[in-house]
Amino acid sequence: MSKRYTKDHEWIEIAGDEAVFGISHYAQEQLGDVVFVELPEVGKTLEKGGEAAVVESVKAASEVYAPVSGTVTAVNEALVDNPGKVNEAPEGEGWFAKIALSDPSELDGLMDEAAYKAFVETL
Amino acid sequence: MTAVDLLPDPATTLAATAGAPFRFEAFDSLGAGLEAQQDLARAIGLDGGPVLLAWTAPRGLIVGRADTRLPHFEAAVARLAAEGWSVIVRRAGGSACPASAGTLQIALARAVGPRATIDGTYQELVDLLGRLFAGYGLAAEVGEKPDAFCPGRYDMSVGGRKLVGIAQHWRQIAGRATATTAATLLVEEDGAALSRIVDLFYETAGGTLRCAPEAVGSLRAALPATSLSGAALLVDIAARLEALTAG
Repeated sequence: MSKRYTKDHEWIEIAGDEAVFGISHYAQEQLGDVVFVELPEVGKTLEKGGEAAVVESVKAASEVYAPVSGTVTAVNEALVDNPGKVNEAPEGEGWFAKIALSDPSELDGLMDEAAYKAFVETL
Repeated sequence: MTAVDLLPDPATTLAATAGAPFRFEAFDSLGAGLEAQQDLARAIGLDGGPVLLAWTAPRGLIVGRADTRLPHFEAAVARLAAEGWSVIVRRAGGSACPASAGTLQIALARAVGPRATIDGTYQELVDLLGRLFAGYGLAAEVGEKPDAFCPGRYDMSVGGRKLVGIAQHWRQIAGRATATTAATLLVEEDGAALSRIVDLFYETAGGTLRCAPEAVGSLRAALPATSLSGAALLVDIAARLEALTAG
């Protein structure tokens, strides 16, 4: 499955039984150099739209919201020591966490890549 | 990240804060003041327009969440406590910034639409503070003072010395995206003494940031000797801010 996006600029992609999410390229551009990331604990239950992580750049701090509901199965510990990965590869090595979905149908409400690209072009 | 539809984008004109609700409070503790600032966005009205809070509190060092990961953070907290300085962690970004009875914290919260930008919401508060300085006959420069504590792109300086540091925090409240932009204005303080406290924190915590005492100043020092001082100056600033936001 290709990536899906929220209007809050998070992305999510299904990988096997899990989904991985992070913030979009557009989001990291807006934030500027990321200097701190606070990740959720493995095992934590996330609600769609609820606070999942914190990202802090040289310009501002912002919560990152869960694109869908689920349980955290893994987090990208590399971001703790190297938060700049969010800038370098926001939709790749800069992923935040993996979750086991509790309601896969929530993915249907998210934008696909083309729709998100069109959305960003309106901003 | 936060964004929401159907809300106005923040204007960056001088009139953007006109008519904004304003309050001035003196808190008994730094924690209470910071909590009020972090909850300021809950006071945003249905129109999403800005609300302002100016506040003072007893002295303490406000640090960023990244500072809590320094190798000897707890030791630094204890070291500052021995000097009579509490340490408190803020949700907004940035590095350590001292607060005291001689500093004024000024926060502006507003709802933000999808086209809102971090720079736009910074500019809104910078414009307001620029008008505040102009009212005192001072021209503020905007730009990072790298040798001052808590440096950032929207530092405001007068006569080459930093008087204002600003941080920003975006969050969703009740499904609405908000941005709170918060400034620390050095009103009447010894910049060298504050810089020493910040240096003591980072030296003890194992951080690398250091301050140049001459990089920071105070509003009182920039004003003529015959001007207001102490609590009267704080009250005067608050009154001017209220007038500037009265519309």
